[in-house]
Amino acid sequence: MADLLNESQRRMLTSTLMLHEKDLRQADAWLQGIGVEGGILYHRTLRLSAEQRAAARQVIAQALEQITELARRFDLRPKEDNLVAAIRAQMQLDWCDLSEMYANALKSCGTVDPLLGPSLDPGIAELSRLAMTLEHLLTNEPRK
Amino acid sequence: MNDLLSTPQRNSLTNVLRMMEEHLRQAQAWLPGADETGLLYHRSLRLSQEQREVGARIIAMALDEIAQVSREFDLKPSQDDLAAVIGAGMSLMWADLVDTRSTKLNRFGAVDPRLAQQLDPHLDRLIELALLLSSLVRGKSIEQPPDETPRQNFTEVRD
Repeated sequence: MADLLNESQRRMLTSTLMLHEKDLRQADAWLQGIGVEGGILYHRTLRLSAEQRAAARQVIAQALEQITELARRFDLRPKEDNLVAAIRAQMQLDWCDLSEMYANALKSCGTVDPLLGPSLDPGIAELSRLAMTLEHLLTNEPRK
Repeated sequence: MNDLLSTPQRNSLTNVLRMMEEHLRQAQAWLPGADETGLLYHRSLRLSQEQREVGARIIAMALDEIAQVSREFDLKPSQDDLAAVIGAGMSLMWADLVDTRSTKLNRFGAVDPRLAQQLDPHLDRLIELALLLSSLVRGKSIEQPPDETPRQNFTEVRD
């Protein structure tokens, strides 16, 4: 059946199913209680009964079976997901966002208290430095 | 320090730090892990042991800094309802899956007349399951067990 799709159609189908697979696996992990724990600035909750979780996981398993069948039928190949590149990109984005959080830049959100800079800016500067340090660490090829 | 920020400034700062925290915790979870192979993706993290250890230390320092800034400015955590996140994700995916049915693939070139029979029944089942999962996690009652759910008619979204 692989020859029923042209290259663009194959790419579209593969991308859509890959995103769906990732969503399904993320949901399945949460339903098992993996990655649900809270952080400093967010709390996560998943208020479902054991029966609801089991039923949801059953639906996810059926959906993954369908994706398996489609991948087999149309010979869809897995894509490489480079997590190092993903982390680096996130750190670069965070660095950009942090640059808008210095007291001087917060003027765009209203009058800035003159005491804000000395109390906020050192923390923002440190977070920016750490984001770039992590990004730079991952830029280098693995060291033996 | 609590009174040094206006509400919009507080919201901006909270959102930016929260996003960074999520990124850091995701990286923290990935760093020690092995490669992960799904059906349609292969996740790899090619780093030396030394890079993983140094990375973990940098992440811990950054999380400490976020905790300190949050404490000093009394930034409040958001409450994330993961059931709503899953439900919304499935609803979005429903739309993407509908756009992948054979009739919609003509945007990318001529569609082989045999494709519909081979592709659409599986996509329709995936669409049903996405809607079913969305309903389940949102606490809506499901009359039939998942494997006995009658097929729905998607004619209205097909054309």
